Amino acid sequence: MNDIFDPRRFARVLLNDLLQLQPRRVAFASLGLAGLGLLVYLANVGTPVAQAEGSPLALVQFAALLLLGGSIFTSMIFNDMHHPLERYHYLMLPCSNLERFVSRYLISAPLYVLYAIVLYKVFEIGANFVCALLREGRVVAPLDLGATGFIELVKAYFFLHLFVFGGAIWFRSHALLKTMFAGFVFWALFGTAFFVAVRLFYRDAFISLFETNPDGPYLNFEFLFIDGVVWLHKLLFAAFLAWCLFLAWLGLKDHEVQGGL
Amino acid sequence: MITTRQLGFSYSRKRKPLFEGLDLSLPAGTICGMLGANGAGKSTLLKIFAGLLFPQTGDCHVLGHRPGAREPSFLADIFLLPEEIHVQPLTAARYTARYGSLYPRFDRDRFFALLDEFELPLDQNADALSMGQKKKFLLAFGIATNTRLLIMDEPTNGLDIPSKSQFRRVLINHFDPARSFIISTHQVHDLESLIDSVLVIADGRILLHAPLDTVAQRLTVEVEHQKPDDALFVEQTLDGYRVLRANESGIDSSVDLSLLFGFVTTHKAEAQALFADPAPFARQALPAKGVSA
Repeated sequence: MNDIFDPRRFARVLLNDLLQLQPRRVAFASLGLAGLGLLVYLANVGTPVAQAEGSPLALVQFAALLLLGGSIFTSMIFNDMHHPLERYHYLMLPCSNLERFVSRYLISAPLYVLYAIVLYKVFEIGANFVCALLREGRVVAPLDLGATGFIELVKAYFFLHLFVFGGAIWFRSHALLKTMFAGFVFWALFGTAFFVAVRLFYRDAFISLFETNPDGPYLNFEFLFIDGVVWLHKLLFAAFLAWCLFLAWLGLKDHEVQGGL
Repeated sequence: MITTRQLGFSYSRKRKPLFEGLDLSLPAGTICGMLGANGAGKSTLLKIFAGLLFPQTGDCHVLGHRPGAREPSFLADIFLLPEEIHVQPLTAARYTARYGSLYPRFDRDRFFALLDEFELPLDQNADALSMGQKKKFLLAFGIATNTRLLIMDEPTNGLDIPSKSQFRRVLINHFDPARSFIISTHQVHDLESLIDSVLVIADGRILLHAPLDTVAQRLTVEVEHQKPDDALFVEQTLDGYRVLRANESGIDSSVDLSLLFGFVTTHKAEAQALFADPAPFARQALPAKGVSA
């Protein structure tokens, strides 16, 4: 028996995790979201913005489903691990930590994106059919899956997901709110540290905390943004994402037991 | 099967350690009853055995594994029935399909036979069952997993009187020497005629760990109308006194777990002296299969 990763065991864990989502609840939640979306479509279908090619309405609505819905869903993905009674069942199942981690990651990231796209496309067909019936043939321009805005949105979800996923592991309750707060504190501290570091390392360029020295050296950080170092940005970004994922993984290893038992 | 060496554990650095320098060796192929008052550390020790809590000092080995590593090969060889339970909203058939395959030696037929023996409805989701029925459902699943170690924490809590007898009968009938059961409880009468070794914990220490045969050889229980002066421990009952004395007759006595527990926890030094050289653990004789406990 492979104690780190066994494909057959992982397939069972993934299937169990998917089935644990309870298809009936997912169906009801999807219908509820579709109902809300239909109201927005009906309210806006007459406007030129909604009918224009590459309409932002579909993209904005899809963004809400992906970012907001995905964040809420991801923040609850480890609820059974934190539940005082359910956790025994979760923790004692004979599977590895890596399998649990990868299974929940796949469900809440790529599979959720796939679910959101399929749900939105099915909704779009139905909603535009209703709009055409009720609003003299007018429909909302469809969501363009090849548009740059759409691809950027999916990338943004994968980025955001890393933090929410880590938060779902680390925080036992109100994971989304706590993750948002922790994120705010992290970026505020990061910004402050950067602000202070610049003033310490380039002391001559400033006469006070907020005023630059007109006679001092000109600080030019543009070299960080020229095309020649784009690969470095990508490398640093990838390293940052990997680090976030690793932190989440460490969190799962440390957090899955001990706490609350 | 289970060995701990100088095991230490504390829930918080500010609090007194629950266990300090705990040495223990539990052999395989026994049904061990773990007795202790509330807060003695029974559940904590079971969680350490199951890999849910990690010792802070010393080490613990269960079935050749370090439980804290939580390897799937280890988790597939133990089953924990916790005191407070949660079951998935699934019928027995779906439960088997989802979780049975994760245990290499899972016996589906045995699971359904046990559910039948416990008279549990097969078409009902397990979460809709009563607390006692849920316990029986999980116990049936745990037995059917055929894991080498089955750990039960207060398994008889929430069971009615017929269910307690049923519980004892099922455990005896489904025990085999390749497996070991550890049952923790503070309701000592639930373990009578079930266990073959006893472990008494108090204040984070092992006060007694001995086969019941040894207990029967060294202690004797009598009922007397007058309170004696020469007894090791006395418990008053409606019709007199239950008296525990050193067994000097050479004939095995019956074992009264309640008296034994009272004696061991209140007369620690005497108990330790009496069991200072316990007989080596050997495979204990169990009641014949099919016997109603």
